[in-house]
Amino acid sequence: MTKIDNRRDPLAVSRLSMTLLIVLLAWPVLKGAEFNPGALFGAENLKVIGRFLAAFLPPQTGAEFLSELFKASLQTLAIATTGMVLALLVAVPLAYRVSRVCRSHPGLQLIMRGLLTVLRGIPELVWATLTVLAVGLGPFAGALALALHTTGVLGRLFAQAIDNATRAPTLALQHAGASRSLDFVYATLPQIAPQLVAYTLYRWEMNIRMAAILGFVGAGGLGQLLYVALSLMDYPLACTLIMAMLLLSMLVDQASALLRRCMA
Amino acid sequence: MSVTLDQLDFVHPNGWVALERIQLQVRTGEHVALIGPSGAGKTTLLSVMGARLAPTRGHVTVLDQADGMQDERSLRLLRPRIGSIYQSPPLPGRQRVVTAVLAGRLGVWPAWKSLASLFYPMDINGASKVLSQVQLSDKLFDRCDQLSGGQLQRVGMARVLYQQADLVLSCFPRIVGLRDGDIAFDLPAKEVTQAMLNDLFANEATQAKDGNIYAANNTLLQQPA
Repeated sequence: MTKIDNRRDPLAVSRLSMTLLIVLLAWPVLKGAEFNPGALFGAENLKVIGRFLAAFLPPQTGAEFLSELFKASLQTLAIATTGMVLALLVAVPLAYRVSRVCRSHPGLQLIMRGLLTVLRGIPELVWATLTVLAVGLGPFAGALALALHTTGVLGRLFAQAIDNATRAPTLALQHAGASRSLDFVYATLPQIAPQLVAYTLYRWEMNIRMAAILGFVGAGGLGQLLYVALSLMDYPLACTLIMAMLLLSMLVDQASALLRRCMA
Repeated sequence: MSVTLDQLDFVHPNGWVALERIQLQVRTGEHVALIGPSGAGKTTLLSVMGARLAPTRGHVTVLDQADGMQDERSLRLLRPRIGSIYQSPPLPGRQRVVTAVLAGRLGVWPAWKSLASLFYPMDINGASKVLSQVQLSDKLFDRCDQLSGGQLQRVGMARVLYQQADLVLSCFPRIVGLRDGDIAFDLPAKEVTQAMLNDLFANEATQAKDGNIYAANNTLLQQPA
């Protein structure tokens, strides 16, 4: 005869209080952002939005223009990918030095962590205004801005992945006489490789979209064309450009998924 | 060549006294089995012998290197000579068997060779030879996560064989029974352990027909009266 256990769930109280706390905090947070759904759906506002959107149609077409568009798309792709590659080259060794498994000097580690935080904390757009001043207008400024910001992001993510990897394989190689850098590539890296690839591909997708935005500060590609189009209030042109950006984004997502499957 | 433990103490950081006043000497060619209940300190003892843990007190001389854990340099010379077989094989799942086995010589290979081997295995022949000693030569290019637990154990052994260590330490928890002075164990191969009997090693369980056996059983690891 099984005994009936009438004890209460020990976690119940803390879970309930946690939930209530979150709900209570939601109120001032929403107020802080002046949350006002009514503004979106008021009849007048909807009319204004409708009229604005109508100006975008029909989208601009025309053979010469489309080839221009194609070139700009390739440039945006190049900006994002170059930024990605540069970031990877710096982020991987930096992440290793910053992680807990590497016995770097603690002061040095602090400085490097600080560097990653700064790189990560400053938005790409702000970096782009600086890089445009440094290397002039054009796609390189965009690539550089993306590289700087992405290094900060990937460096932090990679360091966390390294810290969370199991130590047993690495220690086993160390105790058989392998140097620290060798047992990192032989034992730690194989463990975290899928994560690294996933983060990299995710940032690559984001960078494609960011590259488009950076065009607004003169960093070339589709973004720059879009900026010009909006400034001239040529909305049909802007519409085509936006559609091109969407298409590029979708293609990158597909490529990314394919690469992920190949790596699995 | 030998391993000598002299008045060895080891206390874990949390205060637990694992080893107390151990005296042990193992000479070249000897096969030593440590037998004891779980928690007796066998693995700690092997870790000290393997230059993985420094003793809290006392002296350890491993392969004629006294107190080998004192500095980086002596460790780097000593460690490639010691092979360890672990209870759970420390092999990364995504790595292929050939690369995992060849990693046994990372302590002696030049850096360029070690890095190159990641892209193309530098000694497929050598890896294949040791894998055939553990009956796994058909798994040469398989990924480690495609193997069973027992097969993975044998890959770990193959790595130690490839390492050609002077001292082999191993943790085999599966002792099936003790009968007439022989120790039976359920690894797949008498052939496997035969392969390891060429070198000096201290073993937790092995065919002990002609070796010396120190039966731990709380006698070796307790304070002498």
